[in-house]
Amino acid sequence: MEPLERIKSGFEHFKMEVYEKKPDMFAQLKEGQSPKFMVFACADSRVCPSVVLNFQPGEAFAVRNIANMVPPYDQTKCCGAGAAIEYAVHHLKVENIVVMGHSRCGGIKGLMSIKDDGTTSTDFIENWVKICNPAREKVKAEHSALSLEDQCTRCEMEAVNVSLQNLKTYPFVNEAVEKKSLKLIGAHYDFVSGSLETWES
Amino acid sequence: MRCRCFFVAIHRISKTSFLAKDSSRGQKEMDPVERLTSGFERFKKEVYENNPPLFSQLAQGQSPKFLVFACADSRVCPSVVLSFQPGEAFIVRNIANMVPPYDQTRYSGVGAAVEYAVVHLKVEYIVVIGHSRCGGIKGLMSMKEDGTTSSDFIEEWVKICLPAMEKVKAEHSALPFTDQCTQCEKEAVNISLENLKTYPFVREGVEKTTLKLIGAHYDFVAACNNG
Repeated sequence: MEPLERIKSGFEHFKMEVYEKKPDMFAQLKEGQSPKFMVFACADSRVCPSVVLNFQPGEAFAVRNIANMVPPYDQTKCCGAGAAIEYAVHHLKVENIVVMGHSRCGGIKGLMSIKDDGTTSTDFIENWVKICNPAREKVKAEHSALSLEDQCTRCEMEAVNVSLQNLKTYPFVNEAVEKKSLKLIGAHYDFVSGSLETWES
Repeated sequence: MRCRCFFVAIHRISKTSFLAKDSSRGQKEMDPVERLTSGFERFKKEVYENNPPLFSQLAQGQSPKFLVFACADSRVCPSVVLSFQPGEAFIVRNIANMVPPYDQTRYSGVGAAVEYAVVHLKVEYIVVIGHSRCGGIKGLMSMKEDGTTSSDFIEEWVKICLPAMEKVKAEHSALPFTDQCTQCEKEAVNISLENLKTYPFVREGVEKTTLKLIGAHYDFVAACNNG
C-alpha cells in the first residue's frame, strides 16, 4: 500500500473502531490529559507500550527512544529526555514512571558490542547507548561466561536499573519519590517467551 | 461525531485489531504494578496468543517500513491513532514530536533513532505527526520575547521549532492564541521535516528516492465542537 494511503486508512480504522465508539472518553480527553503513568519504552516496532500493556488513550505519557534509556540530568546534552520528565512530573503530576526494556534489543546489543578501547563507528548510536555503560560493565564483570545473547538479556535488565537510578538525578523526580507521590518501576517484556517481568526501584 | 485528520481518506483496512480490549475501566485505583501486569495479560491473551505466526516472525527481527515521530502526549499514540500493527513502525515519542537538527553533542537521542532507522532498519518513510492541544507547542508559543526561560528543560527543548513560532506570530498575529497554536502545531512539523534533511543519511535517502518524508496532524478536537 502506498504510504499516505496506509496512514489515512489506518486513521479511518481508528476513527471507526475506537474514536466513534467512545465519545465520552474523547470528549473528556479533548479538555486535557491526566495520565497516571509516564513510560519509557524502546522505539522498536515490536514493543509499543499501548499495545503490550493495553494502555488506553489518556493513561500513559510515553517517551520512546533507542533502548528505552533515561540519561542523567544534563541541560546541555539531554534536554529531550529532561523536557519530557519535567513535563510529566511537574505539570502532569504522574504518579508512576515505568522504564520498560525488551528482548532482542538492538540498542543493547550495540552497547554490548562497543569495542573495549571505546572507539565508535556510528554518528550517534554508540554515544547514545553509552548512557548505560555501567550496565554493560556489570554484565561483563559478573556474567563473562555467558554467551553474548545471554549477556544481552542481562544487560537489557541492568540498563533499566541504570535508567531508574538516572531518574533520581532529576531534582523534581527525587523530591516526589521521597514524598512518596511518585513510584519508579522497572519492567522487561520478553516477546520470545511471551512474558513480562516487573520490579520496583 | 467526526474526527478530522488533514489527510483523510475513505480506504478501509483489515478489521484485525492489535489492541486488546480496554481493561482499565473500573480499575482507577488499581495498584500500578497490578495495572501493568493485568494489561499485559490482556495483550497476551487477546493479541500475542492469537497471532503465533506474526510473533514468531517478529522474534527473529523487525523490518518496519515506517519511522514515526509522535508526541509523548497520552492521547496520541500512533499505534492507536494510525492502527500500526506490531512490526510496522519504529516510533520515537518526545515533547511535541520534534526533530532537532543534526548535532552530535546536544541531540544524540534523536540522532541515534534516525540513524538506526534509516541506516540499519532501512525504513522507507519518515512520518512526523503533530496534534491538537499540544502542550509543548503551547509552551513554545508562550515563550517570552526576551528569551528568558523558567523551566529546567522544556523551553530549551521546544526552542527547536522557534522558526515556526516566529512564522506564526508574523503571519497570523490577528488570530486568537488557540488558533495560533494550531497553526504552530503544523508549522513545527514542517520545521522537523526540514531538520530531518540535515542528517546526511536522510538527505541521501531522499535524493535517491528510497526515503520519503511525510507530515501529518491529528486533530482530536475539531469534530467534537462541530458535532
